[in-house]
Amino acid sequence: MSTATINDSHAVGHHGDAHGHDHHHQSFITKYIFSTDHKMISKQYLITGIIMGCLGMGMSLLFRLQLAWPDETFPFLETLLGKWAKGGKLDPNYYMALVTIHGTIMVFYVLTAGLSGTFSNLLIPLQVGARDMASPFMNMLSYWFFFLSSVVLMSSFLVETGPASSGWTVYPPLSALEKAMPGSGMGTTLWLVAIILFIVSALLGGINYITTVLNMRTKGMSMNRLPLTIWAFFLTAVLGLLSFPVLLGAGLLLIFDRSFGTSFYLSDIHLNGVGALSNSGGSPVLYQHLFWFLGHPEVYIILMPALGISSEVISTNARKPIFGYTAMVISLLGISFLSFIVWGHHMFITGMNPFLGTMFMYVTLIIAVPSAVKTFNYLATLWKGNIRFTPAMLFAIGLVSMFISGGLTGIYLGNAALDIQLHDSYFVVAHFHLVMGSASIFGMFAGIYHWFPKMYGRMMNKTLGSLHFWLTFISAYLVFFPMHFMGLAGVPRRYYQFSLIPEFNIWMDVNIFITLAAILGGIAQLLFLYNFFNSIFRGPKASKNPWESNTLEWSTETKHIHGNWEGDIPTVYRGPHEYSRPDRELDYFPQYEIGDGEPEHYHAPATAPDTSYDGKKEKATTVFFSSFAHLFSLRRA
Amino acid sequence: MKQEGSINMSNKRSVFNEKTFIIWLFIVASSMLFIAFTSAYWVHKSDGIRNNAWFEFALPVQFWVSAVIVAVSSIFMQLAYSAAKKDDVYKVPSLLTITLILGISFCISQIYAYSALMDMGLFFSNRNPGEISASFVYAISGVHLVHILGGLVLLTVATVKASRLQVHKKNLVFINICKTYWHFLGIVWIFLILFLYFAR
Repeated sequence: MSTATINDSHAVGHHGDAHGHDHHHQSFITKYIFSTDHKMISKQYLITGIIMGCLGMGMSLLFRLQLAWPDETFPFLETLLGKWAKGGKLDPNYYMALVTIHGTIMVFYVLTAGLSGTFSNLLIPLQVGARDMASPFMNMLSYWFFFLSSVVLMSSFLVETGPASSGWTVYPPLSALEKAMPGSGMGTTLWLVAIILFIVSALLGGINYITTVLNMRTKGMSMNRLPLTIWAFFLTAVLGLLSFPVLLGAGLLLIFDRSFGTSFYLSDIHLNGVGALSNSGGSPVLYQHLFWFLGHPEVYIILMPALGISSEVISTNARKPIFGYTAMVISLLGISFLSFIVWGHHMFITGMNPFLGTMFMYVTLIIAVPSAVKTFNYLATLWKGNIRFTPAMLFAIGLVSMFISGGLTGIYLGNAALDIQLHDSYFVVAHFHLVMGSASIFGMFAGIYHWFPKMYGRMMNKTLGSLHFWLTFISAYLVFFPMHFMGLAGVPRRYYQFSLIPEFNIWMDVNIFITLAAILGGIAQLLFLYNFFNSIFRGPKASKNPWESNTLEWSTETKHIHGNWEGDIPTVYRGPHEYSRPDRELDYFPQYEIGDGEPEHYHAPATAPDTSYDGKKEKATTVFFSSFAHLFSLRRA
Repeated sequence: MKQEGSINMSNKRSVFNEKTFIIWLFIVASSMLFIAFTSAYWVHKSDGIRNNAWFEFALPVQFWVSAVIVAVSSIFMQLAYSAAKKDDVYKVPSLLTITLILGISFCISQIYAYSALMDMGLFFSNRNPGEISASFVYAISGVHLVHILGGLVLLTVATVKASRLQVHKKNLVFINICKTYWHFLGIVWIFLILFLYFAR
């Protein structure tokens, strides 16, 4: 606990004058577990996200084995999964469960909480110049709701009937009827509980992020001087704030249908062996509308933080100002707005009115405009840059690559007519794994490599990082690129055993190839895990500003203190991307460094405002009862 | 909580108090929830009418009584706020208590409304064609009721704070949060009752 003691002395040293009554006494529990320090919460998010990511990736490897060698048996599966892999062959229901939970984990737990949770928490206070979040307590709650939600979700693997198995979208009626499939029972109940806890966590976090960005910027940090990371996190939080409550509504109605006998999503459909249900009048399409009203913004909740991170990393490591800062911000705003009016493109084949489909198609295709603006700005920033190929930079460039190759197929899928052929095929799987999955996870890796020195005060190994990048980059393309061709040929997603269907049998070799590439990708992540955990303890000590970056977080000491800066918070004098200015000797010009002719340093007020009432102290019960007398003017104050 | 508050003081610079701002963001989020429910109701209704499966019924009078109660409670909430703002600190606890009592009466009135609905043979889980309209009424008002319970907790805390003389001109943040949220809840219920009446 010696580190805690050092932190304490720092904390008192620099806060002491402002509020001497605060004693940052930290035990193990308040420092590492129920911490209210945004930097610690960010690490908690990251570690939880990495663990969930490993689980999600492990699941994908298990079902890839099934897809590649559907007629073989793998005895180790029975050892690992017991009754779900009798004789070493994955149970079909368990296959569906793995697909479902893989999607849920990756979308919500890794790329929403793991990515946005980690970096919003780490960077928002540090980059806007705040001592902590607007409400550190809510921030802590946000993490612990997330943790609880993860535990509930994973606990569904311990249920006898298995976890939820109706796809990560949990469409009714599969999810609404407890007897529909084994996973529709307790597994789906736990899934719903987990998601509701997750929504609470996302809302608590998001509210905090928005408030901090809008209210707690340091002197000089106007909105147009915010690093693009902050713009991205801010708009991500706005999207979450507006869309997660709708998913909550959808989930509540589903719970009512499952457990209270209502018919919001259920009607008198016929079931084998049961006959017609006694429900009437419900519509499963209603669920899809509500779900995708969240679901589409969710795509950008995942992607935008990655885009923001890569903007910063690319600008820093190309030693150039980001090309078109304003255009970058406006395109983020455009993407955020459009993301709310395109949800129908997930539902083209639900029997939607073709006129409505056309409208959804137009607005969907318009998203290509801000996306292209961002892509070209990345490329223009890289153009003639003095590029430093750090692992973070490699991953950021990898994001641009994935964003282009995955984004292009979005134009195919956004066409209502083409979607008839492509819907629910491997083409969709390829599209969203490239543009949403790979691009975002690359952004997350870029962020981890770039801000690792800030989080742990040590450097990660560069060679291992580069190797990790190349293996991941190559394997991601090898896995997802062939899926386009399978999808165009009509191979449907979520099928258990293609060897049973002659027309899809021709893709067996491709499936084996994809699985081998996925295993390669899995091995590459082991490099990352080793590098990450090893560097936490044994990496070389980082300097204060190892990437020679401009943004405020690098003005703090490598040693973490609650409050971030000893003494005053730095003032900001310029935008975040002033690299390679011809009038400067150094090729960077930090936001917090005062230039010639710029105003004096700003001093924060030394004392908190006095909020006591005339120094009066009276017994609460006396005041309470006499209050009624005062109200009826029996007594004058 | 006090500890974090004082850390933040040093660089809070906007016109909004950040805690007040948080409640506004919460209001945005919870508005989205009610928008989701009312949209779902609307879509379902047009489907139901097309398929001749939409049961219309008069809303129980208790729901309207609730609307009056919540409107009156909003007035008392506002009075409490103005008293605090005028440093008339000794009036604040009682005014808050009256608001609280009206809030509890609102809940009771809602429960009477539910029992009136049940007397009409309309239950949360309906199996007759078209009676999903009633399920919606239960679900929407139920979710609002949960919000009200949260408001009651806020009001209770505010009353305690006021009794400890912690609510006055220089310390309006909490009662402001309370007031904003409580008015929001009142407005939502009045909107919902009008919505349910006109969109039957």
